[in-house]
Amino acid sequence: MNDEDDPKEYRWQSGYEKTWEAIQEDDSGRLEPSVTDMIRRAKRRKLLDREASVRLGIMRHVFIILDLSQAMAEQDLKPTRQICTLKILDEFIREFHDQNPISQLGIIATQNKVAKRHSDLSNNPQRHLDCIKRLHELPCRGEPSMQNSLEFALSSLKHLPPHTSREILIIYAALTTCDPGEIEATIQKVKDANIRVSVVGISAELHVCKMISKDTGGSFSVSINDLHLKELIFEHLEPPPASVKMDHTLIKVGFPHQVNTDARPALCMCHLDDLPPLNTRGYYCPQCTAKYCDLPAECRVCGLMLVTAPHLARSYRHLFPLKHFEEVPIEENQSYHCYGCLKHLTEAASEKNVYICRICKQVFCFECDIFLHETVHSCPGCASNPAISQYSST
Amino acid sequence: MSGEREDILLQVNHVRYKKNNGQLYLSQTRVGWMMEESDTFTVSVVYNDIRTQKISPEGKPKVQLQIVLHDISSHTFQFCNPEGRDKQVVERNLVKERLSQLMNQNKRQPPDELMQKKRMLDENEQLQQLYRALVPTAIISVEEFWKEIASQYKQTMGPQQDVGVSGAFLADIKPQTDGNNGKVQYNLTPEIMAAVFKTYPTVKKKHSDYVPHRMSESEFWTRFFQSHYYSVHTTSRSENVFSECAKSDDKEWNRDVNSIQNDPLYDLNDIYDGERVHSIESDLKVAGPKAGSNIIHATMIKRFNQHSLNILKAQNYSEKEKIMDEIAAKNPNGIPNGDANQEPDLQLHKNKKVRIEEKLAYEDLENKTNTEITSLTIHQKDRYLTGPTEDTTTHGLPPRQVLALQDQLRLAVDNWNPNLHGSQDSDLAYRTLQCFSEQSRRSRNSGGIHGDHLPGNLHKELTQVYSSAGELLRHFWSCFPPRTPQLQEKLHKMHETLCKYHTVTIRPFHEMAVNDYNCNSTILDHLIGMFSIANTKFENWKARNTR
Repeated sequence: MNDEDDPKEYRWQSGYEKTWEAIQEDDSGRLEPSVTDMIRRAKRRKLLDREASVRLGIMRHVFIILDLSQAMAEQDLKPTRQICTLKILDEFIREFHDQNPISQLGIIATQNKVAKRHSDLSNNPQRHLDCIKRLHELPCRGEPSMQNSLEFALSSLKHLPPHTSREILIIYAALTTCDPGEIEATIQKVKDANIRVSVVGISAELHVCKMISKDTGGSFSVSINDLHLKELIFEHLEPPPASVKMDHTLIKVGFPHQVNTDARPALCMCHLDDLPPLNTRGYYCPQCTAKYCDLPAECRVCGLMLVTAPHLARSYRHLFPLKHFEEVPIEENQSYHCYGCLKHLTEAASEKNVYICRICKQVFCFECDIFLHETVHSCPGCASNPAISQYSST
Repeated sequence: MSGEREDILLQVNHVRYKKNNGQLYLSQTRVGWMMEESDTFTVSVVYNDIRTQKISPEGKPKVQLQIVLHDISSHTFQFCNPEGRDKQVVERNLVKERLSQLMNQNKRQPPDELMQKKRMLDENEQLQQLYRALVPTAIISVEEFWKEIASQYKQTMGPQQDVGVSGAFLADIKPQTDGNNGKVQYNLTPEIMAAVFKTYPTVKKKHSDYVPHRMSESEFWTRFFQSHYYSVHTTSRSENVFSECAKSDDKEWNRDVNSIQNDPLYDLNDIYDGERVHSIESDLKVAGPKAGSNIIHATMIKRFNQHSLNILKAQNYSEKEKIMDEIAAKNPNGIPNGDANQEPDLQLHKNKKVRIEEKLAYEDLENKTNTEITSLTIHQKDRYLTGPTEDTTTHGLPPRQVLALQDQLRLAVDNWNPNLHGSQDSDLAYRTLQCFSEQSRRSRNSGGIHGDHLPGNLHKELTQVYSSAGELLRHFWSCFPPRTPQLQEKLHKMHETLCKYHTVTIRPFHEMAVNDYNCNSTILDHLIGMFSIANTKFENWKARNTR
């Protein structure tokens, strides 16, 4: 075939895209390492990009605007775009509340040229998960309206205190938007309210999405397949850098105790609609003694934010991030095992580099490096070394 | 009525109402009817109260006009001009048109506050309960209720949403042909009708003129679909209805096309075939590529362009309408200004450089510029990692002593034997276990009626009391810290309200619970505790302030 011979052919002229040529077998004849290798290398590059010592907006109020128009009924993501996206959002919500305990989430869906709020801003993940379950049943029809959904989110986010980080995440599959007025006016309003809008596209790059995300300082990306879509949506789990206009103030926070020996039986304020039992199980607000079943919560009576210390400690990994390890080719390496998993580090293995922590000088393999930076956020070498891990000032 | 200066816009004599002769007057804000020899209005109706007006059908001998109000009552006026029936019909039509105009004008005022409040109460059951708990017992006055509590719910309802016009709405009306008779069926929904009215204001006017007395809805829409708006060839049976529309549309089209300004960046000459002279005005009037000599194609393309332009204008129309409304509301007697946004020609020339630069530069291809981020500097890292500790200095032990202590410790650990008998008194141990076990703690606390087994009604009422008390307490706590005098005033008021609530609702509830249901008197302890905490806070603040 003369397609192979002529390298100057345009892409659309070539007969078939030979994707199999990118994958090669490694020495032991397995394909999997090369595929995962590519994925991991991409992840590592992304980790390097993130800088330390940046002020982040940790108290986040995020609205997810989901497009449920006719375009979401397409079947290019299996089984349909709608179901695939909802499944990803289910995991996203759980992870979000896990990693951002003092943040709040809300869900708006747009179809038939109007927007409807399906779940209010709250930090209770169960409510959002129930809402996502309900959205599975909702049929997709009509055209989405970006202006109506932005206005809707704006009306709720406008009234929040200025020290919080206000964000909107739009998941958009349609190629059109049907709006009642000028969308530029809405974008201006959104910009003035200091809201950061990010868009994850499913079908194609749209100028209006690009404009919105660029003007408000958000990100815009279009997914290639369902794995990529999951990755793009999960990128928003990390708190974004704070905008320069964000206030920094001191926030009053309450830490209720779980065991109250002299507590009086009370009804909890979070389930007043469903006839809660009268007992002493729960957390009492330290300022007004209203009872709540679950933390973190915002006290409905006195407005105090109630958290436990572990919730706040989760955000420490942003304050003291784990520094990048030094990449060293395997030949110069002297130790035989990876400090994290005790794997043999020989040249026969498929690793080309090992990673050395700059502080404790321990050696880690590639997988441990990714695991430590993404999930653990601390170096086991430094933690188990008493000379390094002591912080007392004597 | 005589004291107000209202301009009479239209006066019609020889109008009968309830078998009396008189005159009908239309003024700016209301319509009234006065009997012949009197000088007071028997009937006077504000336009806002009118829901709709009806006229008697063509064939009837009496020429009548009926006004239907929101509360279903109606007034019927009969036109009995002695000059003959035709004159009556003319007069009546005149009144009808003027009335509908004035009704539309006055209807643009904000929706009735009462209806909105009613809607809110219907939608939120919680709000309804709060209302019932707080307002009738005079704990909170009605205005305060709507101002404070309901405003929170209003926020959650979201803004009013308008619906845009889809670009393909006419194409989406897919007609179905019935194979046998050649009948074509169109499915019309109210949304499609609203979209048509929004896009073509002339059609809207025709609709209000013709329907329902001159022709029925279905006939009107059949004519519409047969007209030039929908099909290429107008079946020219009796198309006088929409041919006027066609003429006015053409006029508007020419006006719009001529207002397109001379913009060198959007050079339309390239889309024309053949040689063209450089005079732009006459050529633009055609506004469409000459598809050979086929006039039908040219007309069709022109109609498509008109349709698209109308859709775009429908979008901006609503914004402009709102601005016009605001101006009209501010000075109802004034004449609205001309078009507010005129784009002067020289603006184009000024921005030319900017626009050319915009076209040349692509952001994606440039080097990545960093967005401005605020950096974080952490002083005193230790304070993040350890809690606040007292400032004790630990004395370091000399190393010899440390070794000796280590040896001692090792010896003690090796030689340790448990002494089971000397550890604890068994009775004491048992009682301690009881103390800490949860079940026993629970049974000790709830006493008479177990918390989990409250009788149904009592439980429900208790939750309602909790929710209304919680709402009041929320308003109380939101006043702290009272920086402005309004907040301080509100604080005083809330404190009074809380005291009132305590006496009015809580005490009787407590007594009822004890007497009727024979339950433990500690049921309301927690709630009373919340009140007393609020009270303490208030007293402390008062003491500090008056010092």
